[in-house]
Amino acid sequence: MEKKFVDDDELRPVPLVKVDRFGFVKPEVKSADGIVKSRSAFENDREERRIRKWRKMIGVGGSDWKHYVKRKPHVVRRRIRKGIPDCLRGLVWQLISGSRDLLLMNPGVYEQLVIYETSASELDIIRDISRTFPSHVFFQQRHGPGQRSLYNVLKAYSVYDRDVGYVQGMGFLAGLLLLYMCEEDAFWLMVALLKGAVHAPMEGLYLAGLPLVQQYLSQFEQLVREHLPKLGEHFTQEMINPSMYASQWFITVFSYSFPFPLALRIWDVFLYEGVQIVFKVGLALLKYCHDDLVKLPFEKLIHALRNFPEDAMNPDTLLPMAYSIKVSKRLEEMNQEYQKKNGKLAESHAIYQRSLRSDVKLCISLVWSIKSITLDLISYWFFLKKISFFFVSQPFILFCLYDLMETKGGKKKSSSTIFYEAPLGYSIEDVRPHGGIKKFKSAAYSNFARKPS
Amino acid sequence: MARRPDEEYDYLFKVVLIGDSGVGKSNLLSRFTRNEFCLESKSTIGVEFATRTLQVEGRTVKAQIWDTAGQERYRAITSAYYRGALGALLVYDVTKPTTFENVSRWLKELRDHADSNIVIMLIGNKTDLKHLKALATEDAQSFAEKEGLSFIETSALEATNVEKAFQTILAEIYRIISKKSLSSNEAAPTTIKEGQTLVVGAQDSSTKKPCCSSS
Repeated sequence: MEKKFVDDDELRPVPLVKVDRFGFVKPEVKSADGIVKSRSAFENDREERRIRKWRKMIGVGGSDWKHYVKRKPHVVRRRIRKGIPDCLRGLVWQLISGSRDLLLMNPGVYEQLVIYETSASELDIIRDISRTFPSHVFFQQRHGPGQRSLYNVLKAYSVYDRDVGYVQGMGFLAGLLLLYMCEEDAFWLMVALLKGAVHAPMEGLYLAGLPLVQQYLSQFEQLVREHLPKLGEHFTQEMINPSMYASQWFITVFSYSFPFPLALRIWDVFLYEGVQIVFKVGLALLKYCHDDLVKLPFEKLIHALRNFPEDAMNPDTLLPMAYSIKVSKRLEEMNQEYQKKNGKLAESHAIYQRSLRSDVKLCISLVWSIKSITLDLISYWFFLKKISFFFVSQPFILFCLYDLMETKGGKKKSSSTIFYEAPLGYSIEDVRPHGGIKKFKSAAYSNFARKPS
Repeated sequence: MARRPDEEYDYLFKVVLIGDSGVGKSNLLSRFTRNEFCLESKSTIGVEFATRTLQVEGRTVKAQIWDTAGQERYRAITSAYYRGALGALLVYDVTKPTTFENVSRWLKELRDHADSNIVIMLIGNKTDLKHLKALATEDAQSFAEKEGLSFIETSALEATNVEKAFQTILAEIYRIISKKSLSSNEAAPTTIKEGQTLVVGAQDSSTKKPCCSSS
């Protein structure tokens, strides 16, 4: 039965499936409930007013953002907590995180990383590409634009930050970002998250040994005991610890398995307020389901902690609850305690942070030196475009070879080898300057200005 | 085959699934516990958990299986789950030699973090990819013998030997446990010195979950 499924999948380049407004494949419609609910006129009006307010706040292309944040940080925070309008989300995320500045300061760096550099993690990344948001149309197609973008961003990051390289889970961050912005923007947003621009909410998270994840998990356990003592006690009795259910919350900031609308709302806040929101949402989920959870024995408890009911995951009820939980002061205290206890660890983390800053500078200077070698910038550009087909295709040849080896059930048809010979689907002529570049660009950097819904 | 409700069992055995990323651990688990195989599965982040109750040597055994993320970076989190495990299924991919080469590293992991008497079974998965098979059965077999591991080749996709693999390791654990209980003094299994994982004669039959379908 499964094998049949494999065949179907491969014969179907663009799957004709029903998707939700975010592009995730909808599970089979169960009953008459499946009728799509259209928004009421009132809701539409409200949404439009909201968008207008946001546009005014960020200015043309984000020009007023910094000024507004400085003047009215509380207004910004309040509006973000209500949710960023979906049509502005990609831009606003870049403004909040400061990734826009990184992008502008580092022209050409991303391209360098994608085209010229090789990464020790390439095979690891490839192995996980089809295992990242497998139910989203953008990432479903083998070697399709989504998978290529995902590969490029992850590879570029693994080169850019060689200490971290590639860690499973990063794909979900990159995937989430790629649904709202182009590759290069997504890459710089990852840099902003992990290395810092305005702040670095995920700095050090993926380091060897995952020290920060361990710290967060132990702090979360402590917070559960303080905020929900009865449940905390029950967890102790049933020998449940947060690594059994909450690692994914911290490692992917709820993007791994939570309903997408909720994940997006959490990300809005996460980018502005940092990791605290992960603790708050986690606690809110436990609080919401408290009365059920305290009754459950070990196995059912684990199941429940990984499968929260739908009503618990409604952003409009869960998030206000999360905002009402105060954790910042306590977290600060716990951080200090933790660092005292694990002095050495904290020290090495600080050294790492310093090395990161110098890394960013180094990367910038590298690009400038490359640029100064180039005599004519314009001819350089065209030259690059001409040859980039070859270089860009390198990793994909690897990608495809790997895939050839991977053929599920040995069922790959010989016809599919055509695909492997020309992974981008274009002949060399297509990428030459006379009109072909655009086409090429759309294949390699495939999701420019892509917006869901 | 009708099975007893989930909660009634004579023994509870904790088993961990380990091995390199992408060798098929999660699908072995889903094949065994739910008889499902998912081509579009996500990579495992952290740990996953599933159980199945089955008959082993005439006893009702509940297998509590922890599926772990394979990437090296996750070992700090996953190695905590080796503690108290009675069995480990060490999985490699028969089409990828590196995953077999890393088996020794996984054995070292187990020696460092697991109980010394843990039962280990080496599993070569993805035998359905016959034309891509890069590792000879005999080589793996002799390696397993040398290391004192049991060995089997499986295909989670075609459901080949998955049941047998789990049955074998659970039976082996059972034999060791019952031998131990005999030698410790009495015959009854209730005297087994247990870790928190080996729950003997648990009688919690209060609730009933839908039974996983066996093949």
